Amino acid sequence: MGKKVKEVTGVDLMTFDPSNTEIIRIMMHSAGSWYTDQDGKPNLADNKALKKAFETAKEVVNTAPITLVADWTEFVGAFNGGKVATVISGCWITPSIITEESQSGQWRIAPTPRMDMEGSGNASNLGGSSFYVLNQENQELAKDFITKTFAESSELYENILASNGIQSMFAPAFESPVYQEPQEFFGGQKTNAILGEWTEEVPAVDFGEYTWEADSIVAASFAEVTNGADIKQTLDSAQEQFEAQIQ
Amino acid sequence: MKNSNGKRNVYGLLFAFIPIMFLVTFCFIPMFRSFILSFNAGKGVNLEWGGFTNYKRLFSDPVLIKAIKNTFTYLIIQVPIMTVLALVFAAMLNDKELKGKAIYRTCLFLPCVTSLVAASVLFKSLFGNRGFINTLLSSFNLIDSPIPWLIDPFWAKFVIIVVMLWRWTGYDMIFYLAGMQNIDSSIYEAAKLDGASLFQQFFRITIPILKPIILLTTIMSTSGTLQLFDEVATLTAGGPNNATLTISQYIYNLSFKFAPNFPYAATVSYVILILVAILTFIQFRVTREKN
Repeated sequence: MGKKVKEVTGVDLMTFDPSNTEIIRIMMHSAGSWYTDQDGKPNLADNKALKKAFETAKEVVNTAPITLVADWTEFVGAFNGGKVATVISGCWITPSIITEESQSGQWRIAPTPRMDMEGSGNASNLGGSSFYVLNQENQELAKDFITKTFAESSELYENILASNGIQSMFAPAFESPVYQEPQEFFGGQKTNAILGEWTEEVPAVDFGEYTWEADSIVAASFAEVTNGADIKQTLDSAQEQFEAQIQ
Repeated sequence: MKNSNGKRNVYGLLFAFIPIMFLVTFCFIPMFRSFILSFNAGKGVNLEWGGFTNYKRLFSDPVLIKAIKNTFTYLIIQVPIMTVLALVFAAMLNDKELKGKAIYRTCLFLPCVTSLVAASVLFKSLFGNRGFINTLLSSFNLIDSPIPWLIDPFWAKFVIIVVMLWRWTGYDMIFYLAGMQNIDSSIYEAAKLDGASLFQQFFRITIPILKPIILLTTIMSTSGTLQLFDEVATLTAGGPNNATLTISQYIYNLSFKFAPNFPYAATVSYVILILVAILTFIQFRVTREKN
Protein backbone atom coordinates (compact mmCIF):
# COMPACT_ATOMS: atom_id res chain seq x y z
CA MET A 1 0.00 0.00 0.00
CA GLY A 2 2.88 2.29 0.79
CA LYS A 3 4.19 2.01 -2.74
CA LYS A 4 0.78 2.91 -4.18
CA VAL A 5 0.59 5.94 -1.93
CA LYS A 6 3.99 7.10 -3.11
CA GLU A 7 3.01 6.62 -6.74
CA VAL A 8 -0.23 8.51 -6.44
CA THR A 9 0.75 11.29 -4.10
CA GLY A 10 4.52 11.45 -4.22
CA VAL A 11 4.89 11.51 -0.44
CA ASP A 12 6.04 8.81 1.94
CA LEU A 13 3.60 6.57 3.73
CA MET A 14 4.52 7.38 7.31
CA THR A 15 7.30 8.38 9.64
CA PHE A 16 9.50 6.03 11.60
CA ASP A 17 11.64 6.87 14.61
CA PRO A 18 14.18 4.09 15.07
CA SER A 19 14.57 4.69 18.77
CA ASN A 20 10.95 4.30 19.75
CA THR A 21 8.72 1.31 19.69
CA GLU A 22 5.35 2.95 19.10
CA ILE A 23 4.25 0.88 16.13
CA ILE A 24 5.47 -2.30 17.81
CA ARG A 25 3.49 -1.51 20.93
CA ILE A 26 0.39 -0.63 18.94
CA MET A 27 0.56 -3.93 17.08
CA MET A 28 1.29 -5.99 20.17
CA HIS A 29 -1.51 -4.42 22.16
CA SER A 30 -4.00 -4.86 19.33
CA ALA A 31 -3.42 -8.58 19.69
CA GLY A 32 -3.96 -8.47 23.44
CA SER A 33 -0.41 -9.01 24.59
CA TRP A 34 2.39 -7.01 26.27
CA TYR A 35 6.05 -7.24 27.30
CA THR A 36 5.15 -9.07 30.51
CA ASP A 37 2.61 -11.82 30.93
CA GLN A 38 -0.25 -12.00 33.46
CA ASP A 39 2.12 -12.90 36.30
CA GLY A 40 4.40 -10.00 35.54
CA LYS A 41 7.13 -12.24 34.13
CA PRO A 42 9.10 -11.18 31.05
CA ASN A 43 7.33 -12.33 27.94
CA LEU A 44 9.51 -11.57 24.95
CA ALA A 45 10.88 -14.83 23.62
CA ASP A 46 7.60 -16.74 23.36
CA ASN A 47 5.42 -13.78 22.61
CA LYS A 48 3.63 -14.57 19.31
CA ALA A 49 2.15 -11.09 19.05
CA LEU A 50 5.53 -9.45 19.52
CA LYS A 51 7.12 -11.73 16.97
CA LYS A 52 4.41 -10.94 14.43
CA ALA A 53 4.74 -7.26 15.20
CA PHE A 54 8.47 -7.47 14.51
CA GLU A 55 7.93 -9.27 11.23
CA THR A 56 5.30 -6.84 10.03
CA ALA A 57 7.19 -3.75 11.15
CA LYS A 58 10.41 -5.01 9.58
CA GLU A 59 8.67 -5.41 6.25
CA VAL A 60 7.22 -1.93 6.47
CA VAL A 61 10.48 -0.29 7.49
CA ASN A 62 12.57 -2.07 4.90
CA THR A 63 10.28 -2.00 1.89
CA ALA A 64 7.72 0.76 2.22
CA PRO A 65 8.63 4.37 1.53
CA ILE A 66 8.92 5.94 4.97
CA THR A 67 10.54 9.04 6.40
CA LEU A 68 13.06 8.53 9.17
CA VAL A 69 12.73 10.97 12.02
CA ALA A 70 14.84 11.53 15.10
CA ASP A 71 12.49 13.12 17.60
CA TRP A 72 9.09 14.64 18.30
CA THR A 73 9.75 17.89 16.46
CA GLU A 74 10.68 16.14 13.24
CA PHE A 75 7.79 13.73 13.68
CA VAL A 76 5.19 16.50 13.92
CA GLY A 77 6.96 18.53 11.26
CA ALA A 78 6.68 15.62 8.85
CA PHE A 79 2.91 15.38 8.80
CA ASN A 80 2.28 19.08 9.37
CA GLY A 81 4.49 19.82 6.41
CA GLY A 82 2.69 17.30 4.22
CA LYS A 83 5.75 15.10 3.86
CA VAL A 84 4.00 11.90 4.96
CA ALA A 85 0.56 10.67 4.16
CA THR A 86 -0.44 8.89 7.37
CA VAL A 87 0.17 8.94 11.09
CA ILE A 88 -0.32 5.76 13.10
CA SER A 89 -0.57 6.87 16.68
CA GLY A 90 -2.84 7.34 19.67
CA CYS A 91 -5.80 9.68 19.18
CA TRP A 92 -3.92 12.20 21.32
CA ILE A 93 -2.06 13.13 18.17
CA THR A 94 -5.20 14.87 16.88
CA PRO A 95 -4.38 18.30 18.35
CA SER A 96 -0.97 18.19 16.67
CA ILE A 97 -2.62 17.42 13.36
CA ILE A 98 -5.28 20.10 13.79
CA THR A 99 -2.73 22.88 14.42
CA GLU A 100 -1.87 22.79 10.74
CA GLU A 101 -4.97 24.63 9.59
CA SER A 102 -4.06 24.58 5.94
CA GLN A 103 -4.73 20.85 5.90
CA SER A 104 -8.29 21.15 7.17
CA GLY A 105 -10.70 18.85 5.41
CA GLN A 106 -7.94 16.63 4.04
CA TRP A 107 -7.53 14.24 6.95
CA ARG A 108 -9.72 11.30 7.95
CA ILE A 109 -9.39 8.75 10.70
CA ALA A 110 -9.19 5.06 9.89
CA PRO A 111 -8.87 1.89 11.99
CA THR A 112 -5.40 0.60 12.91
CA PRO A 113 -4.32 -2.02 10.41
CA ARG A 114 -4.79 -5.55 11.69
CA MET A 115 -1.95 -8.02 11.98
CA ASP A 116 -2.09 -11.20 10.00
CA MET A 117 -2.70 -13.54 12.91
CA GLU A 118 -5.43 -14.98 15.07
CA GLY A 119 -6.73 -12.83 17.89
CA SER A 120 -5.55 -9.63 16.32
CA GLY A 121 -7.94 -6.72 16.08
CA ASN A 122 -8.16 -3.30 14.52
CA ALA A 123 -7.93 -1.36 17.72
CA SER A 124 -5.19 -0.57 20.19
CA ASN A 125 -4.12 1.80 22.90
CA LEU A 126 -0.96 3.88 22.85
CA GLY A 127 -0.81 5.58 26.20
CA GLY A 128 -2.60 8.73 27.11
CA SER A 129 -3.72 9.08 30.71
CA SER A 130 -4.73 6.28 32.99
CA PHE A 131 -6.00 6.04 36.53
CA TYR A 132 -4.23 3.92 39.08
CA VAL A 133 -5.52 3.36 42.60
CA LEU A 134 -2.55 2.73 44.87
CA ASN A 135 -2.57 -0.10 47.33
CA GLN A 136 -2.36 2.08 50.43
CA GLU A 137 -4.59 3.55 53.11
CA ASN A 138 -7.65 5.47 51.94
CA GLN A 139 -7.88 3.04 49.08
CA GLU A 140 -11.62 2.79 49.54
CA LEU A 141 -11.95 6.56 49.46
CA ALA A 142 -9.95 6.76 46.26
CA LYS A 143 -11.95 3.99 44.62
CA ASP A 144 -15.16 5.70 45.65
CA PHE A 145 -14.02 9.00 44.12
CA ILE A 146 -13.05 7.41 40.84
CA THR A 147 -16.28 5.44 40.70
CA LYS A 148 -18.50 8.42 41.31
CA THR A 149 -16.75 10.67 38.82
CA PHE A 150 -14.91 8.90 36.05
CA ALA A 151 -16.74 5.61 36.19
CA GLU A 152 -20.30 6.86 36.34
CA SER A 153 -20.67 10.42 35.13
CA SER A 154 -21.32 10.91 31.44
CA GLU A 155 -21.64 14.59 32.12
CA LEU A 156 -18.00 14.79 33.18
CA TYR A 157 -16.88 13.28 29.90
CA GLU A 158 -19.06 15.58 27.85
CA ASN A 159 -17.59 18.58 29.63
CA ILE A 160 -13.99 17.57 29.15
CA LEU A 161 -14.52 16.74 25.50
CA ALA A 162 -16.11 20.08 24.78
CA SER A 163 -13.62 22.15 26.71
CA ASN A 164 -10.35 20.22 26.35
CA GLY A 165 -10.82 17.74 23.53
CA ILE A 166 -10.22 14.77 25.80
CA GLN A 167 -11.28 11.48 24.30
CA SER A 168 -12.22 8.90 26.85
CA MET A 169 -13.01 5.21 27.13
CA PHE A 170 -16.32 5.53 28.96
CA ALA A 171 -18.87 3.75 26.82
CA PRO A 172 -22.15 5.38 27.98
CA ALA A 173 -20.76 8.82 27.20
CA PHE A 174 -20.55 8.03 23.51
CA GLU A 175 -24.29 8.33 23.08
CA SER A 176 -24.24 11.97 24.05
CA PRO A 177 -24.56 14.69 21.38
CA VAL A 178 -21.16 16.19 22.17
CA TYR A 179 -19.51 13.00 21.04
CA GLN A 180 -21.70 12.70 17.99
CA GLU A 181 -20.69 16.08 16.55
CA PRO A 182 -19.08 16.01 13.12
CA GLN A 183 -15.54 17.38 13.06
CA GLU A 184 -14.91 19.94 10.33
CA PHE A 185 -11.19 19.34 10.17
CA PHE A 186 -11.84 15.74 9.30
CA GLY A 187 -14.29 16.58 6.55
CA GLY A 188 -17.37 16.06 8.70
CA GLN A 189 -16.33 12.67 10.04
CA LYS A 190 -17.75 12.07 13.50
CA THR A 191 -14.29 11.26 14.80
CA ASN A 192 -15.10 11.23 18.49
CA ALA A 193 -18.02 8.88 18.02
CA ILE A 194 -15.99 6.58 15.80
CA LEU A 195 -13.12 6.53 18.27
CA GLY A 196 -15.65 5.70 20.94
CA GLU A 197 -16.80 2.64 19.00
CA TRP A 198 -13.26 1.47 18.56
CA THR A 199 -12.42 1.86 22.25
CA GLU A 200 -14.77 -1.01 22.91
CA GLU A 201 -12.58 -3.22 20.72
CA VAL A 202 -9.28 -2.50 22.48
CA PRO A 203 -8.13 -5.61 24.33
CA ALA A 204 -7.51 -5.17 28.05
CA VAL A 205 -3.84 -5.63 28.81
CA ASP A 206 -1.91 -5.68 32.09
CA PHE A 207 1.14 -3.47 31.64
CA GLY A 208 3.13 -4.78 34.57
CA GLU A 209 5.92 -2.84 36.29
CA TYR A 210 8.74 -3.00 33.81
CA THR A 211 7.48 -1.49 30.58
CA TRP A 212 10.35 0.99 30.16
CA GLU A 213 13.12 -1.55 30.69
CA ALA A 214 11.51 -3.86 28.14
CA ASP A 215 10.84 -0.98 25.81
CA SER A 216 14.46 0.08 25.66
CA ILE A 217 15.58 -3.50 25.05
CA VAL A 218 12.91 -4.11 22.42
CA ALA A 219 13.82 -0.91 20.57
CA ALA A 220 17.44 -2.04 20.36
CA SER A 221 16.33 -5.53 19.28
CA PHE A 222 14.12 -4.15 16.55
CA ALA A 223 17.01 -2.09 15.23
CA GLU A 224 19.04 -5.29 14.95
CA VAL A 225 16.17 -7.03 13.21
CA THR A 226 15.80 -4.32 10.57
CA ASN A 227 19.50 -4.73 9.89
CA GLY A 228 19.01 -8.41 9.16
CA ALA A 229 19.28 -10.27 12.47
CA ASP A 230 17.17 -13.37 12.97
CA ILE A 231 13.95 -12.52 14.80
CA LYS A 232 13.84 -15.60 17.02
CA GLN A 233 17.44 -15.24 18.18
CA THR A 234 17.04 -11.54 18.83
CA LEU A 235 13.89 -12.06 20.88
CA ASP A 236 15.53 -14.86 22.88
CA SER A 237 18.48 -12.66 23.72
CA ALA A 238 16.10 -9.78 24.50
CA GLN A 239 14.30 -12.04 26.95
CA GLU A 240 17.58 -12.78 28.73
CA GLN A 241 18.49 -9.11 28.87
CA PHE A 242 15.07 -8.21 30.19
CA GLU A 243 15.29 -10.83 32.94
CA ALA A 244 18.73 -9.56 33.92
CA GLN A 245 17.62 -5.94 33.87
CA ILE A 246 14.78 -6.36 36.31
CA GLN A 247 16.52 -8.32 39.03
CA MET B 1 51.29 37.55 71.96
CA LYS B 2 49.81 34.19 72.63
CA ASN B 3 46.39 35.71 73.12
CA SER B 4 46.26 37.59 69.83
CA ASN B 5 47.48 34.53 67.91
CA GLY B 6 44.95 32.35 69.69
CA LYS B 7 42.16 34.80 68.91
CA ARG B 8 43.08 34.82 65.21
CA ASN B 9 43.03 31.04 65.16
CA VAL B 10 39.63 30.93 66.79
CA TYR B 11 38.15 33.40 64.33
CA GLY B 12 39.74 31.51 61.48
CA LEU B 13 38.22 28.28 62.64
CA LEU B 14 34.84 29.90 63.13
CA PHE B 15 34.81 31.26 59.60
CA ALA B 16 35.81 27.94 58.18
CA PHE B 17 33.35 26.05 60.34
CA ILE B 18 30.20 27.00 58.43
CA PRO B 19 31.43 26.02 54.94
CA ILE B 20 32.86 22.84 56.41
CA MET B 21 29.49 22.01 57.93
CA PHE B 22 27.80 22.60 54.59
CA LEU B 23 30.37 20.46 52.84
CA VAL B 24 29.98 17.63 55.29
CA THR B 25 26.16 17.74 55.34
CA PHE B 26 25.53 18.12 51.64
CA CYS B 27 28.53 16.38 50.20
CA PHE B 28 30.24 13.85 52.43
CA ILE B 29 27.30 12.47 54.35
CA PRO B 30 25.28 11.81 51.15
CA MET B 31 28.35 10.16 49.62
CA PHE B 32 28.62 7.89 52.61
CA ARG B 33 24.90 7.10 52.62
CA SER B 34 25.03 6.41 48.91
CA PHE B 35 27.79 3.92 49.62
CA ILE B 36 25.58 2.19 52.19
CA LEU B 37 22.68 2.32 49.70
CA SER B 38 24.72 0.46 47.14
CA PHE B 39 24.73 -2.53 49.46
CA ASN B 40 20.94 -2.61 49.58
CA ALA B 41 18.58 -4.11 47.05
CA GLY B 42 14.99 -3.44 46.07
CA LYS B 43 12.69 -1.12 44.17
CA GLY B 44 11.57 2.35 45.14
CA VAL B 45 11.33 2.61 48.90
CA ASN B 46 11.22 -1.12 49.56
CA LEU B 47 14.85 -1.71 50.48
CA GLU B 48 16.55 -4.60 52.18
CA TRP B 49 20.16 -5.67 52.67
CA GLY B 50 21.65 -7.12 49.47
CA GLY B 51 25.33 -7.46 50.18
CA PHE B 52 27.46 -7.51 47.08
CA THR B 53 24.66 -8.40 44.62
CA ASN B 54 24.74 -4.98 42.98
CA TYR B 55 28.50 -5.07 42.58
CA LYS B 56 28.35 -8.51 41.05
CA ARG B 57 25.68 -7.33 38.66
CA LEU B 58 27.98 -4.58 37.36
CA PHE B 59 30.12 -7.07 35.50
CA SER B 60 27.34 -8.81 33.64
CA ASP B 61 25.26 -5.77 32.74
CA PRO B 62 25.46 -5.25 28.97
CA VAL B 63 23.91 -1.78 29.11
CA LEU B 64 26.49 -0.61 31.64
CA ILE B 65 29.31 -2.01 29.56
CA LYS B 66 27.93 -0.18 26.52
CA ALA B 67 27.67 3.03 28.53
CA ILE B 68 31.26 2.71 29.71
CA LYS B 69 32.46 2.07 26.17
CA ASN B 70 30.58 5.12 24.89
CA THR B 71 31.86 7.34 27.69
CA PHE B 72 35.43 6.25 27.07
CA THR B 73 35.04 6.87 23.35
CA TYR B 74 34.04 10.43 24.12
CA LEU B 75 36.91 10.75 26.57
CA ILE B 76 39.63 9.46 24.28
CA ILE B 77 38.55 11.49 21.26
CA GLN B 78 37.29 14.65 22.81
CA VAL B 79 39.78 15.52 25.54
CA PRO B 80 42.96 15.50 23.40
CA ILE B 81 41.30 17.41 20.56
CA MET B 82 39.91 19.97 22.96
CA THR B 83 43.21 20.47 24.75
CA VAL B 84 45.11 20.98 21.51
CA LEU B 85 42.47 23.30 20.05
CA ALA B 86 42.33 25.34 23.25
CA LEU B 87 46.13 25.67 23.29
CA VAL B 88 46.18 26.78 19.67
CA PHE B 89 43.43 29.35 20.21
CA ALA B 90 45.11 30.63 23.35
CA ALA B 91 48.43 30.96 21.52
CA MET B 92 46.74 32.86 18.71
CA LEU B 93 44.96 35.15 21.11
CA ASN B 94 48.12 35.78 23.06
CA ASP B 95 49.62 37.61 20.14
CA LYS B 96 50.09 41.23 21.13
CA GLU B 97 49.51 42.52 17.62
CA LEU B 98 46.19 40.82 16.97
CA LYS B 99 43.33 43.26 16.45
CA GLY B 100 39.93 42.54 17.96
CA LYS B 101 41.29 40.10 20.55
CA ALA B 102 38.48 40.83 22.95
CA ILE B 103 35.83 39.95 20.38
CA TYR B 104 37.44 36.61 19.49
CA ARG B 105 37.91 35.78 23.14
CA THR B 106 34.26 36.51 23.91
CA CYS B 107 33.06 34.51 20.91
CA LEU B 108 35.11 31.52 21.93
CA PHE B 109 34.07 31.66 25.56
CA LEU B 110 30.37 32.39 24.99
CA PRO B 111 29.35 28.78 24.29
CA CYS B 112 30.15 27.69 27.85
CA VAL B 113 27.79 30.20 29.35
CA THR B 114 24.88 29.69 26.99
CA SER B 115 21.87 27.78 28.19
CA LEU B 116 22.54 24.12 27.54
CA VAL B 117 18.97 23.26 26.64
CA ALA B 118 18.66 26.17 24.22
CA ALA B 119 21.92 25.20 22.56
CA SER B 120 20.84 21.57 22.29
CA VAL B 121 17.51 22.43 20.70
CA LEU B 122 19.38 24.53 18.17
CA PHE B 123 21.90 21.82 17.40
CA LYS B 124 19.13 19.27 17.09
CA SER B 125 17.50 21.31 14.38
CA LEU B 126 20.84 22.08 12.70
CA PHE B 127 21.67 18.39 12.47
CA GLY B 128 18.16 17.21 11.62
CA ASN B 129 17.42 15.32 8.42
CA ARG B 130 16.34 18.48 6.66
CA GLY B 131 18.51 20.69 8.83
CA PHE B 132 20.99 23.36 7.91
CA ILE B 133 24.05 21.12 7.86
CA ASN B 134 22.54 18.61 5.44
CA THR B 135 21.23 21.39 3.24
CA LEU B 136 24.67 23.01 3.18
CA LEU B 137 26.45 19.76 2.39
CA SER B 138 24.08 18.87 -0.43
CA SER B 139 24.24 22.31 -1.96
CA PHE B 140 28.00 21.84 -2.25
CA ASN B 141 27.32 18.38 -3.69
CA LEU B 142 29.38 16.75 -0.98
CA ILE B 143 26.75 14.17 -0.13
CA ASP B 144 24.15 12.29 -2.18
CA SER B 145 21.44 11.90 0.42
CA PRO B 146 21.01 13.59 3.79
CA ILE B 147 23.15 12.09 6.53
CA PRO B 148 20.96 10.85 9.39
CA TRP B 149 23.09 12.60 12.00
CA LEU B 150 21.03 11.82 15.05
CA ILE B 151 19.63 8.48 13.94
CA ASP B 152 22.81 6.70 12.99
CA PRO B 153 24.88 5.33 15.91
CA PHE B 154 28.20 6.55 14.53
CA TRP B 155 27.11 10.02 13.49
CA ALA B 156 25.20 10.55 16.72
CA LYS B 157 28.45 10.11 18.67
CA PHE B 158 30.13 12.46 16.22
CA VAL B 159 27.50 15.14 16.84
CA ILE B 160 27.87 14.77 20.61
CA ILE B 161 31.63 15.21 20.36
CA VAL B 162 31.25 18.25 18.13
CA VAL B 163 28.79 19.85 20.53
CA MET B 164 31.07 19.18 23.48
CA LEU B 165 34.04 20.68 21.66
CA TRP B 166 31.97 23.71 20.73
CA ARG B 167 30.90 24.18 24.29
CA TRP B 168 34.02 23.57 26.34
CA THR B 169 37.01 24.59 24.24
CA GLY B 170 36.59 28.21 25.29
CA TYR B 171 36.67 27.20 28.91
CA ASP B 172 40.06 25.51 28.66
CA MET B 173 41.29 28.29 26.42
CA ILE B 174 40.76 30.91 29.12
CA PHE B 175 42.90 28.91 31.53
CA TYR B 176 45.72 28.62 29.03
CA LEU B 177 45.46 32.26 28.05
CA ALA B 178 45.78 33.32 31.67
CA GLY B 179 48.78 31.05 32.05
CA MET B 180 50.42 32.32 28.90
CA GLN B 181 49.97 35.92 29.87
CA ASN B 182 51.97 35.21 32.97
CA ILE B 183 54.96 34.10 30.99
CA ASP B 184 57.65 36.75 30.83
CA SER B 185 58.09 37.96 27.27
CA SER B 186 61.83 38.22 27.77
CA ILE B 187 62.06 34.43 27.49
CA TYR B 188 60.54 34.60 24.01
CA GLU B 189 62.85 37.44 23.03
CA ALA B 190 65.86 35.49 24.14
CA ALA B 191 64.66 32.47 22.20
CA LYS B 192 64.10 34.54 19.08
CA LEU B 193 67.64 35.90 19.36
CA ASP B 194 68.89 32.33 19.53
CA GLY B 195 67.05 31.62 16.29
CA ALA B 196 64.14 29.57 17.55
CA SER B 197 61.16 29.35 15.16
CA LEU B 198 57.59 29.94 16.34
CA PHE B 199 56.95 26.20 16.54
CA GLN B 200 60.02 25.63 18.62
CA GLN B 201 59.06 28.48 20.93
CA PHE B 202 55.64 26.97 21.35
CA PHE B 203 56.77 23.45 22.07
CA ARG B 204 59.92 24.15 24.04
CA ILE B 205 58.85 27.17 26.08
CA THR B 206 55.09 27.63 26.24
CA ILE B 207 53.99 24.07 26.80
CA PRO B 208 56.47 23.11 29.51
CA ILE B 209 55.68 26.27 31.45
CA LEU B 210 51.96 25.62 31.09
CA LYS B 211 52.26 22.01 32.17
CA PRO B 212 50.58 22.38 35.57
CA ILE B 213 47.66 24.21 33.95
CA ILE B 214 47.39 21.61 31.21
CA LEU B 215 47.35 18.92 33.86
CA LEU B 216 44.59 20.74 35.72
CA THR B 217 42.41 21.15 32.64
CA THR B 218 42.87 17.57 31.48
CA ILE B 219 41.88 16.29 34.91
CA MET B 220 38.82 18.57 34.89
CA SER B 221 37.93 17.51 31.35
CA THR B 222 38.37 13.83 32.15
CA SER B 223 36.24 14.09 35.25
CA GLY B 224 33.64 16.15 33.40
CA THR B 225 33.48 13.82 30.40
CA LEU B 226 33.16 10.72 32.55
CA GLN B 227 30.19 12.34 34.24
CA LEU B 228 28.71 13.59 30.96
CA PHE B 229 24.94 13.81 31.04
CA ASP B 230 23.47 17.09 29.84
CA GLU B 231 24.51 17.14 26.20
CA VAL B 232 23.61 13.51 25.62
CA ALA B 233 20.28 13.61 27.42
CA THR B 234 19.07 16.65 25.52
CA LEU B 235 20.48 15.89 22.08
CA THR B 236 19.92 12.20 21.61
CA ALA B 237 18.42 10.91 24.89
CA GLY B 238 20.93 8.07 24.89
CA GLY B 239 21.14 7.85 21.18
CA PRO B 240 19.64 5.47 18.71
CA ASN B 241 19.23 2.56 21.11
CA ASN B 242 21.95 3.27 23.64
CA ALA B 243 24.54 4.18 21.05
CA THR B 244 25.35 7.42 22.85
CA LEU B 245 24.34 6.39 26.34
CA THR B 246 26.69 7.61 29.06
CA ILE B 247 27.16 6.21 32.56
CA SER B 248 25.45 9.17 34.20
CA GLN B 249 22.49 8.83 31.91
CA TYR B 250 22.24 5.16 32.75
CA ILE B 251 22.10 6.14 36.42
CA TYR B 252 19.29 8.53 35.59
CA ASN B 253 17.42 5.84 33.67
CA LEU B 254 17.83 3.36 36.51
CA SER B 255 16.53 5.86 39.04
CA PHE B 256 13.75 7.63 37.20
CA LYS B 257 12.86 6.06 33.90
CA PHE B 258 12.83 2.37 34.72
CA ALA B 259 11.26 0.95 37.86
CA PRO B 260 13.40 2.85 40.39
CA ASN B 261 16.39 0.80 41.44
CA PHE B 262 18.25 3.27 43.64
CA PRO B 263 20.72 0.82 45.18
CA TYR B 264 21.99 -0.32 41.80
CA ALA B 265 22.10 3.27 40.57
CA ALA B 266 24.24 4.15 43.62
CA THR B 267 26.55 1.28 42.75
CA VAL B 268 26.98 2.53 39.19
CA SER B 269 27.75 6.01 40.48
CA TYR B 270 30.59 4.53 42.51
CA VAL B 271 31.88 3.04 39.29
CA ILE B 272 32.28 6.58 37.98
CA LEU B 273 34.05 7.58 41.17
CA ILE B 274 36.53 4.74 40.85
CA LEU B 275 37.16 5.45 37.15
CA VAL B 276 37.77 9.14 37.77
CA ALA B 277 40.09 8.35 40.68
CA ILE B 278 42.12 5.89 38.62
CA LEU B 279 42.45 8.20 35.63
CA THR B 280 43.39 11.19 37.77
CA PHE B 281 46.02 9.14 39.52
CA ILE B 282 47.47 8.01 36.21
CA GLN B 283 47.56 11.57 34.91
CA PHE B 284 49.40 12.80 37.99
CA ARG B 285 51.87 9.96 37.72
CA VAL B 286 52.64 10.52 34.05
CA THR B 287 53.44 14.19 34.50
CA ARG B 288 55.53 13.59 37.55
CA GLU B 289 57.71 11.07 35.74
CA LYS B 290 58.33 13.48 32.88
CA ASN B 291 59.73 15.99 35.32
